[in-house]
Amino acid sequence: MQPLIETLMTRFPRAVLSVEADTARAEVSVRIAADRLIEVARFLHDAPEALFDHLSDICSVDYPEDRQRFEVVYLLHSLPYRRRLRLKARVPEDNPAIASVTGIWKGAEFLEREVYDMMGITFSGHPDLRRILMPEDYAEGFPLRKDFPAEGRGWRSQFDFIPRLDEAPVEQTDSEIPERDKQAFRAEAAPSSSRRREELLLNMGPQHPSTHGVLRVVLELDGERIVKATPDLGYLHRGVEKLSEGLAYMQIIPHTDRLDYVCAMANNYAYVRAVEKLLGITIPERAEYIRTIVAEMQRIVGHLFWLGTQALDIGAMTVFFWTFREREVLLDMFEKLCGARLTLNYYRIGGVDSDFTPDLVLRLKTFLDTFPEKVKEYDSLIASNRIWLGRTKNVAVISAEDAISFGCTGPVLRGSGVAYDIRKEEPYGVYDKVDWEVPVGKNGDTYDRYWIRMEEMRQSARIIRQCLDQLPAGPIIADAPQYIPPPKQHVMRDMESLIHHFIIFTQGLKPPKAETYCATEAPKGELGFFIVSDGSARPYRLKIRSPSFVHMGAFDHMARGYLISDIITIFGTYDIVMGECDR
Amino acid sequence: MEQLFFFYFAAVIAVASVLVVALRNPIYSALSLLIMFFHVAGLYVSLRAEFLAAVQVIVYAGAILVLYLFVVMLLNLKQDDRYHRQWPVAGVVGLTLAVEAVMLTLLKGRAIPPAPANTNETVEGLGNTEALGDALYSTYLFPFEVASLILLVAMIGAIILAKKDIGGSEA
Amino acid sequence: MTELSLRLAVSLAQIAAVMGVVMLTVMILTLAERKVLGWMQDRMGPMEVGPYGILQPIADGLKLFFKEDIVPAGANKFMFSLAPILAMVPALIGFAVIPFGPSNKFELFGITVEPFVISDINIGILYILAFASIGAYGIILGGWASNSKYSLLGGLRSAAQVISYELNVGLAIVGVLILAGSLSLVKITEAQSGGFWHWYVFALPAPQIFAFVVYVISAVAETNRVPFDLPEAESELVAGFFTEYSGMRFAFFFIAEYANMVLVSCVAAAMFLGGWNAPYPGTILEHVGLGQFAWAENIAWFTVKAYLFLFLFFWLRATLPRLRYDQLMKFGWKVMLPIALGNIVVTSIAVYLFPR
Repeated sequence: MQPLIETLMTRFPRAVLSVEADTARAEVSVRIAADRLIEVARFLHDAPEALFDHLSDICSVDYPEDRQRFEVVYLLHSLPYRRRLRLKARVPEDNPAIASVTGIWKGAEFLEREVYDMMGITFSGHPDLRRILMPEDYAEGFPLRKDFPAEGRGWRSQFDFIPRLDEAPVEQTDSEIPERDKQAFRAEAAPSSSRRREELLLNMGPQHPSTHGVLRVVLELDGERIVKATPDLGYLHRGVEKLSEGLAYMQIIPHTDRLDYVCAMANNYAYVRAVEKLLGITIPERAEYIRTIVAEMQRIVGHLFWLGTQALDIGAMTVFFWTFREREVLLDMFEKLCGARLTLNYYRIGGVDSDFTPDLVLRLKTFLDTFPEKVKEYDSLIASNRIWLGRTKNVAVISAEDAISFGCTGPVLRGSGVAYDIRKEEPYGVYDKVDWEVPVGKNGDTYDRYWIRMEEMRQSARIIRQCLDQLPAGPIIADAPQYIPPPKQHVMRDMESLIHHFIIFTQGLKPPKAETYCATEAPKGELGFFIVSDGSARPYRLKIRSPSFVHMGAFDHMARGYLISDIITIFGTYDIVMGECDR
Repeated sequence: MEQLFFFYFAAVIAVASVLVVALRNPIYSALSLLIMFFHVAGLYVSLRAEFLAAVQVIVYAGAILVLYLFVVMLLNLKQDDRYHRQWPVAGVVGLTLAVEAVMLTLLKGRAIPPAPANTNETVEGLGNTEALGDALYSTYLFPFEVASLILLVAMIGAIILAKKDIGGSEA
Repeated sequence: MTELSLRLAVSLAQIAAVMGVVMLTVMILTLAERKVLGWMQDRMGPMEVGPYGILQPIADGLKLFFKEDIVPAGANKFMFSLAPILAMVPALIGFAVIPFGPSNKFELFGITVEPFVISDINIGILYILAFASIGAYGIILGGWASNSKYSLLGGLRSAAQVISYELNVGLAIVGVLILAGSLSLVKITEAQSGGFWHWYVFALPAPQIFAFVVYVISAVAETNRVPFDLPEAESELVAGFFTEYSGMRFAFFFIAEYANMVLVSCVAAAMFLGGWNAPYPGTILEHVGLGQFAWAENIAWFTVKAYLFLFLFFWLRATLPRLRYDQLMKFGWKVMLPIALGNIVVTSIAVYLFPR
């Protein structure tokens, strides 16, 4: 890393303002001048010694006291060199504008729109800078700015949510949508051709059985062929990031449950890992094993859910019921473990909430004995079915270059042949102590992504079995009285523990003033938490890098040229969950 | 009895045909046409040509008219766009046809043309399907083949026209 | 005139009986489908109404009957009401020519009564095809009258599908017609008596096994069932042409779909599997000297064959994903049609070379 920083400083002496190397967390961030962003970014993307080909996220932080109020943070990632770099640029309040990097990383389009939507920073050269999560006509300003109250400014009270019964209904006859409003959803000027093109705008969602939640997509169609697909996000936006700024670190865990509500454990894990990285505490071994086991159970649950719904979308109804049968077994175990089935809230900063009982271990082992057979059973229905192959092969193809450029991760990226799995690249938990493989596809089509997820379920079962065999005895939560509430029995007997307990539950734990990004391999892809701490008990800024949101950025690219019926296959192949996408 | 049925069918056919052109909504026009097809089929049945009746329904009502409906729905014709000031032409053609019909009726009088070889008895004996097949493939073989050739040409023509359109836009 | 009214009365009684049986079958089917699917998917199916849920169809019927009948704003009210009727009538009317049992004639007050077929008209199979093609109108008009893009799309898809696959149904049975030399279902069934080796699906000189496969696949497509259920593809078009329908009108479409399934099953049994003929020569009851009750055995065989087909419908639904629209069309025109045409040519040559 050091040589690269030196090259950067010699090549761009005016652009690089400062370099902050955080050795404890092995992170480097480079502060650059906003007007030189494009050249530095271009260099970092193209230069053979840098090759930051993957843009994890773009984030913004508001420092109202500073002269240059807004900070735009680019989280870069180099797949070939397996390293990360943070690029930071400040823009002033009176002219919050910065050049767009959409020309370098295609995935930046949605990410920059989100920054614009939330913080009001404009990106010059952005092809389609509109609000993305908030409504188009949102009139209250930019919600993530520090001077914006978390409860809003009363815009909501201006309109009726429920039509009133005592008034006559407004007769809407032939309500044509003005051409201006449609323009956003149209493709660029159609190529000049003598043939008359009949193009139709079709609205799909937000109420539609196969959009996997409240997602709206506006399709521009030429016959049944898709010319442009514009996702309209934000129907499930709850402002989790804004809410988190008012919550103590421990209180945020239940909010992460609601991100990807199909895989709550994975979100818990990603969040507590980020906080632990910030705090710099180590986790007892048994806790690490339990975390890994539970995360892999959750991966199986998530993939089973995905398989069932994707198959149901394509019309194979039985697969859905069969996968839910196995999912049920695992959910029962979750219930046994922590009392909940869906919003689990099981991970704790420094460990986990409750220990595995011998009974649970036994049940899990019995499940693992039969699970490979069950996967074979699903395969028997669809894996070699001609109709299934016809519906998934060569549908929604995305090349490796495009997948990287769009910032895709998880099975979507691996389906295109890029063996990027955070569990291997930056091992956490006990993934480096067990033996398993990363399945990689070839064609980048829906079938490859299907195959990868099936294979991942088998690998997860392998990991769980090895972890269960190796499972050591010991505590399940770290011993760091400064940050972690001591066990209850100590609190009752020991004065010092009582004080720690009191402090943590009244004031909250206070991490050092720092910032960190921590990525975790969730079932859907790279789930990252970027936390800026100002030393207080609440995060100054918490940014969630959700794979579903980033993947939606590639939706148009993947959908173009396919048929309407393929749209539902593409929804399915992303494995999107709107709770995570809209946050 | 048969007369009664004939007059019923004939009256409905006449009324439905008028409605096809007179109704403003193209979907209603298509439905009138459907009613007409059915009654024509009924006429065939009363003439003991059940085969023809079934084919009439399958081909005209089941295939051709559905295609009409298809086009009407896809284009979603506005009601006013249908008449292109064709009244004068239509009037002239209609009048000519009417005069012709009257003249033919007057000239022939009420004389029934001599029945062809296939009388009711032969039809009864063979079944009308076989009688029809026999007639088509022996007496009327040449016209039958000519008709099929014309249809083939029309089909190829349609394919070429459709293909050209796609080729043109891609080139 | 008394003879005429007597004939009318007998016909009406027969129609009532057949309609009763068909409606009962439809009721059984709605339950059977859910039960069979349930068992195939490791669940119980309906269990609440009556023991093992056997009264579920009645509950469903009552529910649909009492539901509010909603006509969407901007819909064409006349067409909207007409469409379900146009869908249901053709589905039911086809049963008029199906022979459910042997043609035992008996005299009643001076007129001849054939108890197991309402009307033996000599173009029976064409009559069924003709009315099946009318069924498309109900769907297409229902889609159009609902004033919804999704319904319209479902209706149009369905129209294209029904037309394409009807052609294949028609061509698939031509082979049988050549072998039988008749269009009457009664005569076709009678020609297949004397054991399963006389059934047209196996019969020499030209076994219609390919035609049978084409017929079954096309029949599934024509009745809009999985894997060809694109017109009502839940995940794409919500419910296709009947998205906007509710209450009794919805029930009409529903009954039409199931009645169509029963109809194509009956036709398949009659055309290819010997209809009411047992798979062995004669009947057992006849051999043991109860010849006057042989019809019961024949009807039982017919029922078994028809229900086998219906089971196949459920089985397919539990097993297969859905085709895409272009794949469906390609399959119909490029695979099914050539096979059906080839079968006609082969059968014709075989019949010419080995005349019976």
